[in-house]
Amino acid sequence: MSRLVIIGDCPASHRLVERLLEQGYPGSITVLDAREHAPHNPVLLPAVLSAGLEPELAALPTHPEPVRVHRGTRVTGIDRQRRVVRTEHGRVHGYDTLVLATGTSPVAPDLPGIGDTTGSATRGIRWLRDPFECHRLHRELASDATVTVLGGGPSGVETAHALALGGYEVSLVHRGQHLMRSWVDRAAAAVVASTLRDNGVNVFTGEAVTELLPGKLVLASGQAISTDALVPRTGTRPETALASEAGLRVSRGIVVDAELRSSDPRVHALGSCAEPTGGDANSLDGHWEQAENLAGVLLTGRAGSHRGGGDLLRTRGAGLELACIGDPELLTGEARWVEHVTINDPKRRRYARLALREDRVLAATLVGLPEAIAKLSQLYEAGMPVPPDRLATLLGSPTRFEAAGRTTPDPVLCHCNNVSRSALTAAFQDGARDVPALAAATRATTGCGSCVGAVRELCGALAASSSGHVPTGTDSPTQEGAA
Amino acid sequence: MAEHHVATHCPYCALQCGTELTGGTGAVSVSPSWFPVNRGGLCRKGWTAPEVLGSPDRLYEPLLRNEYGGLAATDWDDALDRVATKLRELVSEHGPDAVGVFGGGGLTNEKAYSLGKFARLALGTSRIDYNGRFCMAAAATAGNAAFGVDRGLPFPVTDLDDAEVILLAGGNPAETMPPLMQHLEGAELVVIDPRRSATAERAKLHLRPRPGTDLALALGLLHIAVSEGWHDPEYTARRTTGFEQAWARAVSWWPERVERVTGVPASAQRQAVRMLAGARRAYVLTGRGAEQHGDGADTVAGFINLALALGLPGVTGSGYGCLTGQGNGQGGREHGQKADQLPGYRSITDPGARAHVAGVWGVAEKSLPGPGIPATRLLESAGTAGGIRALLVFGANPVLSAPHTGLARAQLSRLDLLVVADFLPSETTRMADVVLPVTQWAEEEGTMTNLEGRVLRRRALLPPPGRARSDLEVLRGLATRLGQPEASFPTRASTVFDELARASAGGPADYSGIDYERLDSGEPLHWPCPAAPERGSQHPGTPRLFLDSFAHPDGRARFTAVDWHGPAESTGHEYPLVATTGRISGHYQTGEQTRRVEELSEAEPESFVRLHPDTAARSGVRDGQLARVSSARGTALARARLDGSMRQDTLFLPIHYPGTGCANLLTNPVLDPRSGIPEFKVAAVSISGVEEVNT
Repeated sequence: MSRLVIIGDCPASHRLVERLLEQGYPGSITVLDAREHAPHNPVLLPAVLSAGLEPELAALPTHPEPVRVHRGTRVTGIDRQRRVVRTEHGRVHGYDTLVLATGTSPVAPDLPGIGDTTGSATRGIRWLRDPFECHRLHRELASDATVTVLGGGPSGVETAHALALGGYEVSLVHRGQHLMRSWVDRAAAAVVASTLRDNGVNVFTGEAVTELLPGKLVLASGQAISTDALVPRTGTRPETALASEAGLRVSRGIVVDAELRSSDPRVHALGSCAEPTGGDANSLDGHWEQAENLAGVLLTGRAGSHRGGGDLLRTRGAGLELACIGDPELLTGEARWVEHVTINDPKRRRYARLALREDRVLAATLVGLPEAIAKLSQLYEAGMPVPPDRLATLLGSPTRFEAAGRTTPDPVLCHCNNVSRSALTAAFQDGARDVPALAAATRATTGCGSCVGAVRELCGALAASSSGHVPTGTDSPTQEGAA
Repeated sequence: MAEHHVATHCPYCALQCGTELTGGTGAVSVSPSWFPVNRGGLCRKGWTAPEVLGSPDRLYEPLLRNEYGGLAATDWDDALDRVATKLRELVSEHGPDAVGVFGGGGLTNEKAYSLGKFARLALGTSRIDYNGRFCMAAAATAGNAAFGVDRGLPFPVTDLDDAEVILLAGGNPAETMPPLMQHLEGAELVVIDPRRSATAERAKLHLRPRPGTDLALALGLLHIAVSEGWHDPEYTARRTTGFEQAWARAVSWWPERVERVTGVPASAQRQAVRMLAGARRAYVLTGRGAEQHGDGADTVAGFINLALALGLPGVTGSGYGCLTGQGNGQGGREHGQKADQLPGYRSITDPGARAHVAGVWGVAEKSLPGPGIPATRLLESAGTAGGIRALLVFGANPVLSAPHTGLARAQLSRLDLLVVADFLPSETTRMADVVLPVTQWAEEEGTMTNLEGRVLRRRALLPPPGRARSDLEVLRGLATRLGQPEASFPTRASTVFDELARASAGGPADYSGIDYERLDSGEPLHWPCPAAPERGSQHPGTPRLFLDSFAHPDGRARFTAVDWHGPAESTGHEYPLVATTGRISGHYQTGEQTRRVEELSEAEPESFVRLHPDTAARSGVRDGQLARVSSARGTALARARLDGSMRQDTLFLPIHYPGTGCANLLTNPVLDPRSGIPEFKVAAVSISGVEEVNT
């Protein structure tokens, strides 16, 4: 029987095991993970920070038998000749297929006194890598404590936002001139920064940090920020040590092909430790796509037909509406065949820039436009054209459509019973002088009842004209009430 | 005959508005009564219902297909003799399962009960099912799994009057049951519907998911409820089981991911949950839009999970419910015309239930057949090895209502014998070998059970016209010819009801404490209403279920672990759009009745397709132009109506039209594995304009 060994229990490898089980993988599956607790869904970390979600609820489901999961088991080496991995406890696990899912480790900021990534809470450093660390912060810090997030990439922005929603006084310090520099342009970043400020985050850009002192962080400009806790979000590095020691090809991450295969055909890698050719390596969606693909490879020898996740960055968190679609380079280019659309509305915290070709989205940055984010990301992924009215699409106003000859001079007031204004008027003239009488004569108002107001208004208008003369013309107030 | 009045109920939807009929030999007129569900209201279908009574093409005589292929009148004895002879022949040659029975959710409780009894006793077949399978079977399955019992609304409709927020997943009552809207007026509505329906127009918040992604949206709403701390852990711990397993699936459905799949902005999802969770009295209701999917039962379960996480079901002033569609959709699924059920909403595989019902019927328990197969499979099996060779249809029009109607028609044409009992010619009677004319609502006595589980009396104003007979008489005529004693198939509705009540005793839908006398006195009796113990007082019925406990043995409601995998068919190059189907205010079901009402038919005479103007422009379709909508299964012709509120990837077609305009020419016959409901709401299609030649 084929033996599959997976090193690292991360969201990607977790999904891989789920898919293999669902599709009846015939071999044995062993998962080795250095950590003591089950993997979690990273998207729930903000909820632990801001809503106090119990950390257990952020756990990914436990795999059923016969998957063997060994926690607290660090792998010390891979012997590719013998096809075994060795653990720190001296155990040996033989494999026919090996999957590396070793994930990443955070890059420590360049800051005296911070030490390595084991930097502890006692010194005010909070890595917030798992729900337990997040929960500890939530439990230990007073609600008015000051927290500083270091690093203004997507992860820093999301973390700062979540902490602010949690009620802390939050500062976000970013070395670059504007936030999320590799994703968005200056104008978009300004809107993001304003949104963060609206939510109570102090945003510092173009600021290096020089020193972490008890209770405060000193910036290069000399300014000191009150800091009970410092959360580094200064990047991550793929964990490749095992792979390089085993002689696998490693660049920034473990190099794999489209079937997630490393330089050894028996060894695959997926998730954030891998460096695939093409595809979206950095989002959870992207990692899950990899897991689907690898499940296909392991079951049938062929990658599934799953499309890559597409290049789509979508920030998570209530009120943080930002999406980056496609290659941001295309937004800045001046190519003649690209149509650009831009809205910059900093006061209302809205920004959009689109690059289109033949009505299709090539790339887009959208800030503060939730409807447009939902719509354009679907159009992008489906390859569907963007409606000709670009502004209406971006601003979420419905497309108005008036078909020729569809204007009705005689509007239907009661839709349930299909009773028109003229029918009601005729009934009035035949002696139905109040709403109950009009209802009895025409059935208007007897369905859902929502037209009672309009019928009463019409009745009043008809009564007001002493002769019972029918008001006509579009300027009559009842016409408006009926519309 | 002198003019007289009867108090009865509208023949159409599950709301069963109270009405008063006046008439005699002349025209019949209707007026709404102050019944709690409609409080004097009535929609145009209800107002015009009497017109169907005098329809010029009403079936008055039994018809028999003759040697020239036409249907010719005959007498009852001849028609029934021929049917019985053929049935006996087929059963002896192929076994009892060679005969199928297809019922309807519009039949009275008495008819549904007798039909189930007829199938199991007189025919001995397991092959019985009904059109409710097309309608809300998914909600029934999910409701049973979650609560241990399935009653559309486990509370009276009038409870909705005091709601602060109601989430309506895939329901459009403003068009399908307008008088219900007066109960929704006080609440802020959150409506989930791919299109801006008349109900969505009234909503405070309208979520517009891509068709086929409703379950992803439900999972996302649960994710928000838990991750933002809106759920009720105390309720969950005390009154439910299975939260952890359900949450383990929802963990992976964070709002921004759901946004990508459904197209519903994450912010709108959050707003929906906040509205619902922030209300003191809140309801989650589902309709066909959530139910008619290949994952329909899971989708409904997704919405029930949300309601449970928020602590709504089984609490006064809050809850979960399903808006049942057909007039007796509720009662019709309780009394044994469903493939897997015996009267009283009992399972046909439960030995205790079998023994009880067999006892009431005076037969041995082993003589009762086991469970049959769901409606779509039943039709598919026609003329195949091991499949049915004869089909008896009562109160249904499967040629139009089944998915992939082109196939359904072909299947029925393979039968050796098709018998249809109806009061009007339909697409199905036109294919029949024998047509049996039966009575309709104003010509018969009986009971219906409306969407809130209240048992109602239907009363006769008129005698049966022509030679039409009650379905109860037809069943007795056939049963006796098949060797059953006359006494086993009574024809008086109240006698049948009394037997039904005994058969239901002890079952989930217990009617044993109900009789015509109590109903006629106007008592509002909601089931379960068990018989009074000896010397005890009468049970008052149960307007509100679950207040003390749910109907599972442990008294708890169950979360169901569900996940979204997408519809069976995805769009692609050839079929780039999604067609979804639904109802319009002027018509009921396949329109067999309402299309015969001049006023309704004139207002909406032909099938149409709604689509976004940009989609139309790309497909070369003009407003008002006839369009050809095609799927992998067939092509329908419908008049294009451009509508700027439509999603650009979605077309909408109403289900009420026959012939080339039939929406079910397009639909996918894939079934939900749990409930057997077909995927009516998602079909991959293309559209193009048709140049009409004026002749």
